[in-house]
Amino acid sequence: MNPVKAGPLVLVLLLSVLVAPAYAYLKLGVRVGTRTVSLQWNAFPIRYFITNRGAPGVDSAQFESAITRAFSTWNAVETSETSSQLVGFTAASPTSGDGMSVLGFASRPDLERVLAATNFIIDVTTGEIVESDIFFNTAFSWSVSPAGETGRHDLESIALHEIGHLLGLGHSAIGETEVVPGGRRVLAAEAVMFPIAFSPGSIADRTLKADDIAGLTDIYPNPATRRTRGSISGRVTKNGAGVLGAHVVAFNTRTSALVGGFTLSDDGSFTIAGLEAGPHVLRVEPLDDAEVDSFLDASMNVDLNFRVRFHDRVVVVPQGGGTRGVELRVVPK
Amino acid sequence: MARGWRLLILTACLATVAPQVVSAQVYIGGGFPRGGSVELGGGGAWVQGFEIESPTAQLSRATGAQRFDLFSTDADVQRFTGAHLRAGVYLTSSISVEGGVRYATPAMSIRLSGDVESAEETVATQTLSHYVFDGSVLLHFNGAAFAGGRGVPFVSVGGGQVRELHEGRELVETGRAVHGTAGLKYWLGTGRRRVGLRAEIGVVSRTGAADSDDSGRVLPMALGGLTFLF
Repeated sequence: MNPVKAGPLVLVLLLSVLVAPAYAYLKLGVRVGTRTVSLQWNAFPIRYFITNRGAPGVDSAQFESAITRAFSTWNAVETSETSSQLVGFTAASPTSGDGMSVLGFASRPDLERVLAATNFIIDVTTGEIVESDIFFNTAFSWSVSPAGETGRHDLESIALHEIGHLLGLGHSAIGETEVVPGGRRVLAAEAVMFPIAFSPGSIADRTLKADDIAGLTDIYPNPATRRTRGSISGRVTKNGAGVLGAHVVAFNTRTSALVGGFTLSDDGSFTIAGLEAGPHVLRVEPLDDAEVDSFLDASMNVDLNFRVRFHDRVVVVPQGGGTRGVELRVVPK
Repeated sequence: MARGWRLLILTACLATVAPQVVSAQVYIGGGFPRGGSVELGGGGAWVQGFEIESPTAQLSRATGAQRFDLFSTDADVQRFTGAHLRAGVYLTSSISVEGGVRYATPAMSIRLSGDVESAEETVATQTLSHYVFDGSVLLHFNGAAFAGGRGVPFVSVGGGQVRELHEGRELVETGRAVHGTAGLKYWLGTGRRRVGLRAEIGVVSRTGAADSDDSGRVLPMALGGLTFLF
C-alpha cells in the first residue's frame, strides 16, 4: 500500500476564522453563504519559515534546499503569478497556527498512512489564506538524493505536492490505482496533486504536470493567460439527472495535456479551467481510484455507479473564453 | 542595291503597320483571350482527407520510464468537397493571374479506443469551417489548343492562407497552402464574352491550421466549374 501524500486537509480555527468544508476540485474552496470562494493568497511573496530540525537522512540545510526547489518549481509556472520567500529557520512547530507559515518535520506515528499534510488558517469571508503550515511525517524515511533512494520517499516530490495545497490546490484524480491488501497501489498518475504517492525511491513527482499547471493557472492567472487560456463547462447526467462527484478529464489532442475536474453539485455541473486553446476530447469516470474523501467532502453523496465513457463530440477550447453546455451522458454499470 | 532598298522599304512598312494592327486588334471569335481580359469563375472543389497527429493519452509511472496508456486516439480530417470562386485577369494571351477563395466544411473525427477501464470505443467529431484565400499564376498552352481554340490546357501554381474555424466558431487557426494544378478550359462560345467549363487536378501542400503537424502534407485536389470571360 502506498501512503497518501496528505490526509484530509485541516482547517485551523482562530478567532473569526470558521470551519469550512474543504471542497477539493482543482481548487480548494470555502463556503461563504450560498457560494464557494476559492482559497488563495492575496499577497506575494508568500513568506515562510523552515524548522531547524532535520530527520534521519535529511539535515535542516538539505531540507531547506528541497523546499526551496519545490517552491521554485511552482513559481516557475509561466502561465501564473506566484512567488515565495524564505524568511529563515525557526524552532516553531509546523502545526502551530502562530501567524507564521512553517514547513518542517514532525513526528506523527499516529498518522501511519500520512506522509505529510498541509494546514490552513483562512479568512472565511474572503477565502484568503492567512497562514499555512506543512509537516512531513518522520514516521517515514526521507531522502534528498538527486536520483532518489530506494526505500525512502523523495522529500522534494512530496513537498511539491504539499506546496500545491499551500497555494490552494485540492487533489487531482488523474491517476490509476489497483487495490492491494491494506489499501491501493498507484499504477500511474499524471498530476503531482494525485493523493497517493508513488512508491519510495521515485522522483517522478518532481515535475509538474498539465493538470497541476492548469489548476495553479486557474487560481493565479497572469494577464496574458487570461487572454490565451480557456475552459470547458457542462453537466454529467445519468437518466436525465445530474451525477455528483464524476471525474471529467479533458485531453488536448494537440499537446497531450490531461486536465481533470469534478462535478461538484447535484445537477452534475462541472468546469475545467486553465486549459490551453485547441480541440479536446472528454472522458468521464467514477471517482474510484482513491478514497472519495481524498477529493470531496465525505458528506457528499458521490455517485460511483456508472460506466467510464467518452464524449462523442470534439470540444474546442477558445482562447480567453469558454465552451459551455457540454452534456456527458453516462449509463449505470 | 535595288533589292536592298526594297527590303528596307518593306521593313519600314511592317514597322509602321504592325503597331496599327495591334492597336486595332479586336476579338473576332475563336481566338484566345488577350491581355486585359477578365475571367470570373466558380464551382466545386474536392480535397483528399488526411490523418492528424494522434497522441495517446498517457500517465507517468513511478520510474519515469515507459508511460502508462490511458487511451488511444486516431484523428483525421475526412475528404471534403466545397465551393470555390475565382477572379483573374490576363496579362498576355497565355498568362493570367487570379485570386480566389475556397470554402468547405470538412469533418474532423477522433476515434477513441483502447481505454484502460474499457470505455466503449467512440468516434468524437466536429465540423471545421475551412477557407483558403490564395493567388495563382496560370500559363495557358495556346499552342496546344484544340477544337478550334475552344479547348485550352493550362497549368496553375500559387499559394495562400488557410483559415480553419473549429465548431462554435470561437477558435480560428491559420496555415499556409501552396498548390500546383493542371487543367483544361473549354469555351462554349466564341464571342468576346463567353462562358466555359474549367476543370483542374493537382496537389495542395498545406501546413498548419487545424493540422498540428508542422512538416506539412501534400494532398490531391480537384476543382471544376464554370468560368466566364469578359
